[in-house]
Amino acid sequence: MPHLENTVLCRESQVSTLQSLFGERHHFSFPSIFIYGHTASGKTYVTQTLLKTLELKCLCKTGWKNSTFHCDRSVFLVFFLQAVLNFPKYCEPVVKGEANERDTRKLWRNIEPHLKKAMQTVYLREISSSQWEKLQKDDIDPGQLKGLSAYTHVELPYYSKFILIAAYLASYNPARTDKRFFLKHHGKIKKTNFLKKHEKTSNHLLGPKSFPLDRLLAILYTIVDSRVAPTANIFSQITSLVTLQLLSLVGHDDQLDGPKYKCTVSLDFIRAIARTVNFDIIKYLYDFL
Amino acid sequence: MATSSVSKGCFVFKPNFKRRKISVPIEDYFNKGKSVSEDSKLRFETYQLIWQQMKSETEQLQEELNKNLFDNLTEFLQKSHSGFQKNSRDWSCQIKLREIPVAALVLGVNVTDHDLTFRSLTETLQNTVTPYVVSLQAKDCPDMKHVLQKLASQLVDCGVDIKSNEEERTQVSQKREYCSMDFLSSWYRNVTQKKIDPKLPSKKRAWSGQWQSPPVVLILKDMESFTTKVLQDFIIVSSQHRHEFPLILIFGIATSPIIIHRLLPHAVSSLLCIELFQSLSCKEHLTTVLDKLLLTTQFPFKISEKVLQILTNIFLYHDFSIKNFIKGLQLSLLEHFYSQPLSVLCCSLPEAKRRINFLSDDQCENIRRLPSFRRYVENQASEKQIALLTNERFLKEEAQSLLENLHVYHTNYFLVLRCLHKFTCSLPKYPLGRQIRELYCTCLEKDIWDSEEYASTLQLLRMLAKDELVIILEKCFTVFKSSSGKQFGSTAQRIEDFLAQFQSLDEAREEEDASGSQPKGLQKTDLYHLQKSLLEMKELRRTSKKQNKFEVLRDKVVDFVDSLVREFLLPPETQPLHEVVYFSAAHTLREHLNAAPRIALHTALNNPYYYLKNEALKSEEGCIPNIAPDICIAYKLHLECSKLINLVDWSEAFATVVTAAEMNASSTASEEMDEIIHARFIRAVSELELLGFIKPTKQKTDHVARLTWGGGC
Repeated sequence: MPHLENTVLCRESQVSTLQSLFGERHHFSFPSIFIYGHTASGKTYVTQTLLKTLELKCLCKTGWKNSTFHCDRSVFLVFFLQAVLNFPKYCEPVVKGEANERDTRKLWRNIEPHLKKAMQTVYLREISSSQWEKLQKDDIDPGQLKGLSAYTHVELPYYSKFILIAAYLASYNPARTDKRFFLKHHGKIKKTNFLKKHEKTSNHLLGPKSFPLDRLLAILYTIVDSRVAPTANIFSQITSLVTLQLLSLVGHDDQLDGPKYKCTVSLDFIRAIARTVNFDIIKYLYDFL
Repeated sequence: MATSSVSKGCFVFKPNFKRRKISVPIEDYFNKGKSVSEDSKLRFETYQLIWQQMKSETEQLQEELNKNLFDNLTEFLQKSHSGFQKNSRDWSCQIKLREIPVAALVLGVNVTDHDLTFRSLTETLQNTVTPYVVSLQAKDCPDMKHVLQKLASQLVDCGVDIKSNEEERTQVSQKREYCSMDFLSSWYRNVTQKKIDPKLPSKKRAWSGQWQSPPVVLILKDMESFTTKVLQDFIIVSSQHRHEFPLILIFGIATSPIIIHRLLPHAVSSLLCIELFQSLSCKEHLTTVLDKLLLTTQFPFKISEKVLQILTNIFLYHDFSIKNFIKGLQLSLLEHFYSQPLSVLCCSLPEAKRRINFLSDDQCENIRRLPSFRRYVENQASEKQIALLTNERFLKEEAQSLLENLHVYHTNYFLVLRCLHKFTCSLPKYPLGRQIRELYCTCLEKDIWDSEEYASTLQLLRMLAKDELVIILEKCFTVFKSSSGKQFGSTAQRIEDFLAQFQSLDEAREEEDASGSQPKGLQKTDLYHLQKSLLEMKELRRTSKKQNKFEVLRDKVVDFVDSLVREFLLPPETQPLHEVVYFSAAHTLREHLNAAPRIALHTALNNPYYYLKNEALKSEEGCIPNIAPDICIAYKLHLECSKLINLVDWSEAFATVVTAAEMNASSTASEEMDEIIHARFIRAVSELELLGFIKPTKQKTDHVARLTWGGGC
């Protein structure tokens, strides 16, 4: 675009990059582009000229000097999508007559907490954009609406909880320590010097290990305080837990002989579950000995 | 027969279809082995009738419970799609259009029940929002190609309902190999444009939806099982094509919505507009099901406490599945009608009274043999006893009145139970359980007024505050008022009186306050005088045991409730003829529902008569007959060994036992016999290995290791 190059001197590479990013009119573009550089290096001018030439609509935010983004210099951010949602709020003080359009600092201070909340919720897709708009209209505090991450609790049947706890213990405790935790009269496990030297990492950092089905059942029958009849229901519960992706099957589906499993839940999750059945799981974990 | 081939092969010959398969109707199974006098046909018909009624009740219940959820979902879908229709040039709308609306439906871990929910959801959506509703399961979608293929084939089937078009179908089957988003977009364009023509006849269901171009709804039934890659690719591609193929997704989530964040990276989830919907908790569902099916006089069938415990334990401890609970209930119903000849009287009261007149003599004998009836007879005067035991006519009349009493007992029972539940469900620490089913279990088991929990409940009730008490009394009043029976008219009246008395107490106290609140005023006192006056007041309160009016009234209410409980909440075993409607064979139910594979195996191997029913196999404990199957003999012999079993010794012992059996038949011992016995032994050992009782070991040659502990497993 020769006309463009004439209006914007010495910025051919930037212009061509931007052009390739924007693409042709019917192409789908990126939702947001982040352009950074020193003050007065012409970012605003270049971009605005290019956009005017291509007749694309945009919203430009400038002068985020004291922003929360740990930048010393001013940054120039173009938020296409987020700006759509927050523009009404941004303009609010202007509408209310509190500030005029040039008073960017005041506008920024008004919108900063709002944007922070937006970062935590809509930006992370915790709630949908339509819910966000509704919130803005009704002017409710966004903190009240529970996002997706608030619903972590899973209600499981009684024995399923114990199966999951047993699986967690089997995944994160080495097999030789089972005797110490689950037998009434166990001997002391002496950590030899070799073990002490080589035991650098906790099992929790290494991730879950696989265990055979027999070990899971043995631990399960020990930790459940009442007598558990070995019915087919228990076995099908184990498979249900695999379907729910709380346990995972290691090895091939066809291997009926000695199935191996792995526990894929986090420590917080299992602690919450153990609390509901009054089971102190920390006491049984080797890493917390 | 074309069985000649160059290599080894397996040839299948299908049976001749001219011979029609003779299928045995269910009634024959039911009636097998029963005499005509036991009314088995009538019992079967009654069972079917009751079951049909119960089933339709549960389906209705399911619909009601899902109604709220489905309404919210429909609203969400309609709202999200209205943006598409506007076709506005407003650039903000254009940008929002790129987001795919997603309804994240959290259904709970009872995966077996989800099918039903999705089916009714599909129906609802097809009736209200759009005819293009497609469901996908993770196992059908290992990669993008399969997703698109399945989507296309199901969509075309949906579209065909509106307007059947042969060309379209053939077009699709040709294009099945080359499915892409472009194909779907063009299909959608064709289908929605065709609707402009009003002359086209509408098939089956007239789609009179308000939209020219309804959205396409895709339900992912089990979100957790989908692979990340497939989902990501599909979402990215769909969001690019959204303006010409309006897709709306429904995620069926079993655990928690966090799975969305785990499966999809931020780049992809920013293309989605997710809203969360939760379905009813399964425990509440259970309470409602129990309420409608058991705690009611609408259905005459009831279950005893042990049976109820088994069913609720399976629900709470194992799978949270309503479907399995209802199946268990159906099983108990069937078992009751199958095994209890008097269950012919387990129907509505007028019908039961009519049937008593047609009871055979055998059935009358059955009545006399019932334990509850025997107890009843013992308590009668001697002439009446003789009459009952000999006179059929008299017995039948008495049975009719007893059945009527039973019906009245049940009506009263459930009303008082609900009233008691209203009182106990708000107490701290729930001594009698929080749910009505726990209370029901306790009441069924024994006299509830003897239990400690009941005593502590009464104590807690005597400490209730006034407004709570008034609220509970009002609820009880509505319960009693809604009953149609006459006997509770007076009870309802009494509760009304109590409420009125509480009300008057209120006013009386207000007057007192109004009059007496004149200046005691705030006098200036010093510390010494203040202390003295406080001590005096404490003394006064301690010595005066006189309760104020409210406490007196509260005690009266609690005593009244206690009297109701003692009068009406008797356990069912005290009622004569309760065996007609109560199913109590808990062990049968447990056998069927709590499958124990290990125990079954042990029984089969130790006691083959149990399954094979061959008279010759009957034996005493511990002995194995010679003609038992080989595997039983091998099993019995291996039980006597320690951890490592010597194969040679084992085979010799086996041969000894088996030849002893053969010797009885024919006294020829030959080489061939030995070889055959040897082969049988090898087969038995490998079968035991397959079942997991032994495994080969390298510790000693020619030995196998036992995998079970000694002393029988």
